[in-house]
Amino acid sequence: MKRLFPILAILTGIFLSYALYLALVVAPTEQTMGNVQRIFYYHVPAAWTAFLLFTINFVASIVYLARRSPIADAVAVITAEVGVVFCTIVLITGPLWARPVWGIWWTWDVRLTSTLVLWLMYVSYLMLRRFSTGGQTPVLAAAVAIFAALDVPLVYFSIRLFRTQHPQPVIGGGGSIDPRMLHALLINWCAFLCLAALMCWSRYRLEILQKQLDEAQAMESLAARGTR
Amino acid sequence: MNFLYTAYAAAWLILIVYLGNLAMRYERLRKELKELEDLNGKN
Repeated sequence: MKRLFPILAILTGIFLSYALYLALVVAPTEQTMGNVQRIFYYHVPAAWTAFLLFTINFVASIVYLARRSPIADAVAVITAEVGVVFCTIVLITGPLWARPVWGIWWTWDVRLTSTLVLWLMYVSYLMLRRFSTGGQTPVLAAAVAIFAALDVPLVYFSIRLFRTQHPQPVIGGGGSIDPRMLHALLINWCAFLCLAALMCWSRYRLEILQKQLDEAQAMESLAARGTR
Repeated sequence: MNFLYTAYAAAWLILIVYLGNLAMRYERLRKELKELEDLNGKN
């Protein structure tokens, strides 16, 4: 498994480079917005990846509450952390796209505000995991995660349910998209998914190492008590 | 074009910072574990 990781990392790097080439060179320039519309090829895949990771976090949290499985708990914390990284990309690239197109960096409409709230809730979840040391922390965190996940469908459907400044969805929203744009979008999403999977794998290795360290520290304190 | 490149650069910066952070945390934990194992070995 250790040998497989660098190979997969190189393949993901090549895939990401190809996706970048599609986004910046191959995809046609949008007529109204011009080249700045190409932010779309990072903004939308990052959002979809974050939603997917938060959904996995939601399922893992329910599994943890039902079975108290340590693996489900580890999956929950890993997907929340990587999800926050992709959600941060959404929140940074969004205003950088909005400024030249809308003339403003930010507006407090439902889509943008609910995305910010989503990010804040998962950051709170990670802070709870990081700074709370009580035995009930994973249970509390799972409850927070389930609560936070309720915001995911609100973010997704907000542009259909409310009048917002944000554009309608490109797929399933009634509009049309150039096939080359759709191709670039889907390839970028696949590349982001590969990267997210690698990040989750790396983070899982970190989690295993942390568990080993905790066990070693417990052994050390037991040994210290025995010598007294 | 500046907004486009800034957005792409920001996205990559966030990813690189996170990957760097993961690598640092991994190295720190490995070092701590090794020190602890050495200590347990001596005892």
